[in-house]
Amino acid sequence: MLARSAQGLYWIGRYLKRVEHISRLMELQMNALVDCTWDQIHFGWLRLFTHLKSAPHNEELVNWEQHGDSWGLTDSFALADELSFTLENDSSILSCFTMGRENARQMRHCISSEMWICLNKAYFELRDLSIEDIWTTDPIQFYANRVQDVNTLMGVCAATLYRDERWEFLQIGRLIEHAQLMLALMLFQRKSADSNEFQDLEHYDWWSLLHCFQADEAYQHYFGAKIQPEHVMNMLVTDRLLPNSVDFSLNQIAERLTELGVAPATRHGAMANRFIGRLVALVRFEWPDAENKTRMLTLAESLALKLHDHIAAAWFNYEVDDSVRF
Amino acid sequence: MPHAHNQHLFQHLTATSVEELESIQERVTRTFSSQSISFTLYGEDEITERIIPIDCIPRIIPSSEWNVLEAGLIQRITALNKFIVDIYGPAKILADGVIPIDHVRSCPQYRIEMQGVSIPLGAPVGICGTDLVRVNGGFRVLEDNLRVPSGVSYMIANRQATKTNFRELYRKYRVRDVEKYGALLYETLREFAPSGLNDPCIVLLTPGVFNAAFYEHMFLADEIGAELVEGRDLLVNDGYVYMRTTSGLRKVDVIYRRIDDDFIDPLFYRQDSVLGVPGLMHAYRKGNVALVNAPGTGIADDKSIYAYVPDMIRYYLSEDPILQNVETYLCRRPQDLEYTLDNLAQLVVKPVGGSGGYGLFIGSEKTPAERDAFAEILREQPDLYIAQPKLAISRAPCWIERNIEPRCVDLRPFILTGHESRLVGGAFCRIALPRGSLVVNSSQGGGAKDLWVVKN
Repeated sequence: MLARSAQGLYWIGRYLKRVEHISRLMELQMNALVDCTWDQIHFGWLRLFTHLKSAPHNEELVNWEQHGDSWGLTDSFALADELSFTLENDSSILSCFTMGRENARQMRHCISSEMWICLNKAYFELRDLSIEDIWTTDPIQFYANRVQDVNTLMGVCAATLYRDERWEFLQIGRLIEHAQLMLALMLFQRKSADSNEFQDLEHYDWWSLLHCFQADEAYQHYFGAKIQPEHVMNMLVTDRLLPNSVDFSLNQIAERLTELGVAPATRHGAMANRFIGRLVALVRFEWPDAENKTRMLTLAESLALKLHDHIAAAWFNYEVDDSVRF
Repeated sequence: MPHAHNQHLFQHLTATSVEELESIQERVTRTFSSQSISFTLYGEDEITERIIPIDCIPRIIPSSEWNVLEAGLIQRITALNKFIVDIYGPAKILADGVIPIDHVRSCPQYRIEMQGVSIPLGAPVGICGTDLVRVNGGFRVLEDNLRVPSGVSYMIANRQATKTNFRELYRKYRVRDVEKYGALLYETLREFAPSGLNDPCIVLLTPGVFNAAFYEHMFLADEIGAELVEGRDLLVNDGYVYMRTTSGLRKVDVIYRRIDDDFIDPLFYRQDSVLGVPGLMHAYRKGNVALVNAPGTGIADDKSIYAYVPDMIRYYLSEDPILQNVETYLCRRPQDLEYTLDNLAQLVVKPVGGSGGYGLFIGSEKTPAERDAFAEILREQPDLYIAQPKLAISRAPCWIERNIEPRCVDLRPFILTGHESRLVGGAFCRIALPRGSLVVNSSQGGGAKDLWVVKN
């Protein structure tokens, strides 16, 4: 297929996964606003913005440390707006949905009409809302609905998309985004656990993460009701049966790359395969014995970023001299 | 009383309540919005993706009338193709004085680079959209669109949205099919493949997502199973055109191009074009890739050449034109300019190179001062304008604000020409939405409705 079409599908997968990921954490944060402590609310916002490598546009909110303040209940309206409806913020749900839909608009001939109608419907519903509309009614349900929108779309996609390269590139985009976001989230979580500032927050944070990524029941089944941060992290990173774990995504990426076969830019294609192999080995074999998990997560995050670069160079933006001709 | 072919429609509408018709209109509109069937409008400050306003009530044309149209359109495109091949070749029509040589050579759409180029199948225009209006009981050709005509996707979308909402009526009328257009288009493009390749690689070249007709480009690429490419996806090497795929470079045989001549190849035309493909014209001239439509076809749909189409038909085919033109005054002729200036209040003046309804001067809608000012422009640059009488265009019933009201309509059938010319039994039917308006162009806010060609 056309390289640019493959790239478009890859980015549809990435943007929609990002919508789902942010919506899950926002739903969690909205729940926190109901009954959590001031520190926990602050931590939740910090976790969201930091691992998304984003910052609010409002200057006072950005420089909260200089003001000797922290993000609490009163800032939550503006912060939620930032991550939900602010188009200037690349990490807002509306931004990501808009970009995902824009990619789909350009690739409509590559996706099924059912997918397009489903995506379009969800987009129009979201576009016509604002933070004021949801804040006083049911913000928790709003974010739950966004997760459901993406899941429905992925279900329609699974039911209707022809299983050729279109499917593979869309899935690779979705899986890489998931792996990168999960690694960034785990890294933030780990660093926070190591710092003095957030020592008291452990139980709530770790439990909420398990719940957020639908791992709470499996955790209870294997480890009981007691939350042990080490177990939670191991589960979210290495559990092969958990669809939201890092290992699960990496393994799927490796399978998808094998399906694609030789890339037009063979050197970058080989590098992409090497990087995914290295990532899988790191998570599966080195992780259990590693003493310094922060270092491991930092390394994995950097490898996942490079994996994206090699995939783009191998299949989407390859130099003509590197490519195979037929 | 309605015409005989409108009887069933009349009875159906009479028997349908206002609520029911409103509900049908809502469903039809919803079909368009849920799929974002759009046309891009360029305002002063912003670009708007506009859903095409569709009217739910179909327009009916009996087969007997359509058959005449079909014969006339095929006759017309045959003559136009012969004209284009001729003027970029021996130019006999100019030598014989049928058309003044300066009218052709001074036209901005005349492409000197096409001189002597061998055109596949002798058909520079593979896809033509001809605008027709009905006046005083007969159809007239308003213009031929021979460069990158658009609207065919809306014709198919209109049909899909409308027929499901008038199921009984549709079955009763035995309407001719338009949905096979994609198959006919594919077959036509395939015939253009160099060296008669059986399974050529066909692509549709679009300027990109910001183009007004991008929805149509995507739709047609899907219909014919072609890749939708932009200039940046293609490259020329050793006189052949390749596209970047996920499996490496793949040779391209036929390009259905939806980019204007000016932008197609920066080495030949506009050097600042980032939409085109450097070296594409070189590959085309060598016969290694087919471009449909060929560059330079705009010479035959320039409004000043339009007036000569009946003469072309007589010259090349030795036949009388089946379809008549609208009476046209070429302002470059002194007597026509004088007539235009004397009768500006009754005429519509159009720029010769214009399209999309831009730049129209409708004399009756202007003040005397505005007409005087425009007369000065005409005197200064008469070559750039033609004038036509303001036509009493036929109107069709439309569903407007919970009422059935008449609105001016035209139709644009699409004629495909490869080894032979063919068209589906239907057309893109446009509506001038404001009451009393004559402007049907989508770029000017016009709407659309389905057109049913029915058995007599």
